[in-house]
Order: sequence, then structure tokens, then C-alpha cells
Amino acid sequence: MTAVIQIKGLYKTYQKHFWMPRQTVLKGLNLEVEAGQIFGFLGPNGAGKTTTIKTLMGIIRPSAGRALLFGKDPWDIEPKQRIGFLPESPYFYDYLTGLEFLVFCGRLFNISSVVLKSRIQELLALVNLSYAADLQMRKYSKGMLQRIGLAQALINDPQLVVLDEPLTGLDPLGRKEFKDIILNLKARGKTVFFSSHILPDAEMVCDAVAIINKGKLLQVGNLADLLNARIKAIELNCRNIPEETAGKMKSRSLSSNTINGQWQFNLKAEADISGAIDLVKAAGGDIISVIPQKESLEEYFSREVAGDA
Amino acid sequence: MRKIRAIAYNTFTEGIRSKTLYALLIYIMLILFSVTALVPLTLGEHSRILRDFGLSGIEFLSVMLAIVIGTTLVYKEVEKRTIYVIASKPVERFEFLLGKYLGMELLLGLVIFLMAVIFTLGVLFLDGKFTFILLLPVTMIFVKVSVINIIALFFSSLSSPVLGAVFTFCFYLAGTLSRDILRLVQRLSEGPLKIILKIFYYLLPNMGNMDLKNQAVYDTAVLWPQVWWALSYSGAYILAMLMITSLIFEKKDFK
Repeated sequence: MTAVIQIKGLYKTYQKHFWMPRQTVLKGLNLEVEAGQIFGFLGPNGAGKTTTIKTLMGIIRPSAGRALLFGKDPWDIEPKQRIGFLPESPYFYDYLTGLEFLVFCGRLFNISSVVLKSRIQELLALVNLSYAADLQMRKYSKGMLQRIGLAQALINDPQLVVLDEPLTGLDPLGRKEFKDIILNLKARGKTVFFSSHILPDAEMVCDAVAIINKGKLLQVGNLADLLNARIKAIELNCRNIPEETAGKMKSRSLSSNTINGQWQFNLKAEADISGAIDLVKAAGGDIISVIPQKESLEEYFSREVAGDA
Repeated sequence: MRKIRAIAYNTFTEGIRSKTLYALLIYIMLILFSVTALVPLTLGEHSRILRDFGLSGIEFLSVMLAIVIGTTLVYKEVEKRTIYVIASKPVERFEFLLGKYLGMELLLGLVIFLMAVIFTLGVLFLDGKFTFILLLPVTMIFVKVSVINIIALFFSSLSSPVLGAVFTFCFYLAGTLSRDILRLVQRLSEGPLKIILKIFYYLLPNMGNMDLKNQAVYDTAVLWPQVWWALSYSGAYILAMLMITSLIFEKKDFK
């Protein structure tokens, strides 16, 4: 697999005024994103997510280190032909209509008028904004701005789509539509790199994630590997067991619960599974299910960030 | 070129859809005022008064537009973060600046043209005839405003609109007085003040060269060498300022 994004020892320092001390926002960040992935870039507020994205988009220059897109400097024109970018809380030219804005963006890529016309219609339909195409963007809601922002990010049919907090400002239905679009982009072989605060949504779509805090990378890897590595408990569901067996099972479990004669025992480790199944069967009970309980991305994230505090 | 055109057209559209064209209403009122209120008091000098008022009005309003809109051009893009959309697309920063400048030129050109039409109608109404040579000072006003426009763009890339507007206006005023600065330099004895004023004289745009209002008002012959000199000088000044602005802008971080 080829890396579409490479970040090597990236530092960024800011100085608000010349008499103020310099603040280091990124502290030697290293990261690689492979082609065809949906990559979640996660971190608390002020972690350096937007600064990293702005460096990748050629909006700011790194103080040290390198950020590369398709192996090239993002300040070059060539890699920018192949990317789409949706900024955080986007604000666009409010005197333009959505349609005019997309035409403007398309012209910045030198897309021919014929291709542009049909692509704009497709994109407006994709983000569900066909009805507001001729409305000036000053009349758009936050969610509508987010949608037109996604449409402009896709105007050049990019190979890499970078989205900064794309799910913020959307209602649940909008979030679902955005997630479907992201999954659809992946199915078409695109790479999606996005930052998000909404961790359950990120968990649903990401192949891989990176967690950053205070400008440093805490964890990076495939989501399944990161979360499978830490199984919190094994949930065993059964029924038709006598009280005495239930008592024995409780002593082997972290916690238990019963509803309408059905028992749920949370076993401590995988090693306890076979013993518990034998005990239930010996008492004439029925096993309904055995489910390993993984840590959610939210729990994993909280643990990692708290550990770095 | 298509990208520059797109940015220029976008800038022009912004100007047209904001309240820029209200400047024309002010100009119409100025012309009506000079025709109805001043002319009866001028004892046969009505034509000169109208020409003076009309041309000065075109210059004042278009310079004000260039300063007020020009100094917010780039600043607003950065402040409202619309620049993120353009900076992440395959557009050179120089192309962005040139597009903004040309869009503003288009807007100022349109406003000056419409004011010139109103001015022409005023002169026709009062004199019953119109000589096309009267349009030469209008063209030179456009040249002068083009220089102000590039100065406004320069400050818009560096500072806030208020500071930018103050600096640009100072450049305009000092540029208008640049001949007096030169006279002062010639009278001063050698010393640091003379050197500083000399530097200022060369840095400031020489607006005096671009002024043909007097020839139009007093019907004196047009000095064509002055016109050609002013045109080449303004072209070189605009080009140099555009290059300096893009050199600074090239290194700029958009926070």
C-alpha cells in the first residue's frame, strides 16, 4: 500500500505577538495514512488536529519537519489537484448562491463547463441540497453550509478527501448521510482523512485512527486491533439454571443481571469461558450467547488521553 | 488564466452585490447639486464649475471605494477563513492576488464608467455639446485609482482594514503632494532629513503626473508626453507593488 499522507517530525510554533513567548502546537508528529483507508484523526480540543490539517493543506508552513501529500510538498500545485478539503465550521462567500460557489470552485481546478455542470448536479443531489442551489449562502443553516462544503470538497473527484470536523453541526439524519457518503467514497477507492470529536460516529466508519494530545501522537493503528487488544469482559447469556448454579456463576463473574429467568454474567477473562459453560450445562441450563465486550473507542480515547495528562 | 478569471469575477460579484453602486447615487446628487445650486451663482463659469465638480467627484468617490473595499479584500478572506478553500486548491498565491486585484479593477472601472456617463449627460445638458477629450482625465483618474487599488491590496495583505485604510489614504495624500516633497528636498541642505524625504519621494506614487483635471477644466492643450509617462510610470508602479505583495503573501500563514 502507498502512503497518501506522510507526516515526519512535524513541529509548529506560533507567536501571537513578537513580545509574547512562542507556543509549540505540534511537537514532532509522525503519521502515515495509506491509500483507500478511512482514517480518523482524534484528539481533545487544542490537541493540534486543525493545525496538522492546515499544514497538510498548504495553509500554514511547518516550523520543522515535513508533511507530504502523495509524496509531495502540499505547497506544490500538483498534489492539490488530487485532494478535496472541508474546513472546520466552514464559512463561504455568503453573497454567492450554492450553485455559483460550486462553479467557482470547479473553475479553480480548470474543469470544463460541460463536466462541471453535470458534476455539480450530482454533488448537489449527493449532499441533498438541490433544492437550495439558487439560494444565497447567507441564508444557509450551519448544516447546509457543511453540506455545500462537502460538495465543494468533492468537485474535482479527489483521491484524498480531508475533512475537519465534518460531523459537527449536523443533525442525526445529516450525520448518517455524511457517514454513508464517507463509506461510499471508500468503496470507490478514495482515501478519507477526517478529524472528529464525535467518537461513536468515528468508530462506525474508521478503518484506522490516530489519537493526538498536546501536539504529540499517542496512538495510531487499525481500529479493530486497537480495540480488540483490550477485552473488558465476556458476556455470557443463559437460562433455565437453578439458584444454586446462579450463585456459583456469580462468584466467577465481575457482575450479573437477571430478567425474566434469563441470566447475564460478565466473566473476567477468556479463560473462564469453558468452565462457566460446563457449569451451566451440568445444571441443565441453556447457553444463549457468549459475547466478548470490547472497549469502545470513546473509552479507549478517554483512557489514552487521561494517561497522557 | 481561468483561475485568475474565476477569482476576479468572484471579487467583482462581491462588489456588485454589496452596496458599492450606492456611490453612483451620491455622484448623481453631486452633479444635480452643481447644476441646480452652484451654476446660477457662477456668472458664466458654469461649465468650468461642472467640469471641476464632476471630475473631482469621480476621483474622490472612486479613490474612497478603492480604499474602503480594497483594504478589506484579502483581510476578509483570511478573517472569514474563505481563504482556506482557495489555499487548498491548485491556485498559486500570486494567482489569488492578481485575481483579487483584477476583480477590483473591473469593479472600479465599471463605477468610473457609469460616473463618466452621468458626467457626460451633465455637461451635455449644460453646454449642449461634449468633447471627447474630456474623457481623458477620466481615464487618468482610473489609472490613479488603479495605483491606489494596488496599495490598498498591499496593506490588506499585511494589516487590518482600518490601519490599511489609514495607510493607503496617507499614501494617496502624500502621493498627490509628491511634487511639493521634491521641491522641499531641493531646498534642504544635505543631511538625514533630505535622504529620508528623498526615499519617500521615490517610494510614494507620483499622483501629480496622473492629474489632467486642470487641462479639462481650463480647456488647455493635452500634454501627450505627460500622459504616456504617467501610463508607463503607473504600470511599472503597479507591477512592482504586485510583486512585493505576492512575495510577502507567499510566506504568510493563514491562522
